[in-house]
Amino acid sequence: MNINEYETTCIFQPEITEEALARITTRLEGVIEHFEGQKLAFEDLGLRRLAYNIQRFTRGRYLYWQYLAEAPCISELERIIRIESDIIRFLTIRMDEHVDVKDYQPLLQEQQEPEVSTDTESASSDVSTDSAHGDSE
Amino acid sequence: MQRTRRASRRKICRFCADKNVKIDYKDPKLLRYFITERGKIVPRRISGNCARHQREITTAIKRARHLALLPFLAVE
Repeated sequence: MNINEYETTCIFQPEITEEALARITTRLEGVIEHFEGQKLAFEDLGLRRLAYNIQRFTRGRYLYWQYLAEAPCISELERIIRIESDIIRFLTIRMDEHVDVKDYQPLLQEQQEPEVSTDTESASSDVSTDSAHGDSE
Repeated sequence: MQRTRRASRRKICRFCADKNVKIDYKDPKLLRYFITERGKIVPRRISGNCARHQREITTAIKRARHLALLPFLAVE
């Protein structure tokens, strides 16, 4: 079967606990692993202001994954996402089709190594910049 | 009233001019440049984008809207 490159962004409701977040994150990554997909990147984009209210929430916690997987993985992943009520919005995009896993070796190796904490730095700065709003005059 | 057609200088597409700029739906700062304060997508004749990049901008804006990074409609 064909391997594609995907990106998924999930918006969690703002009051979610770190434990619940970790639980869902491992669950979703477990699905990717189960379907023999490979994670390329993960980013916690932090709490951001929503451009419009979703289920009466004005802010949301954005998490982002980039990974290689086959198509059936996506339907299972999205099924799980739909069940989780803490995820208020998600979007999966196929970035590339029929990819060759060999082309991704450098990125994959990077993921094997222990995480360097550059992600958390950018996440905290995003909260204050608040780019998703500001033309309400 | 005088109706003169303004001889507008043909704008050059900024994404063709600078190949380093990537159009990404996760980058609302860049996309904000191509929507009006109402939240509408700016037409090509105003933004000066080429057809290809305007198309990419349009899909990126629509994706960003779905993720609430950009508004569908901004109230004044």
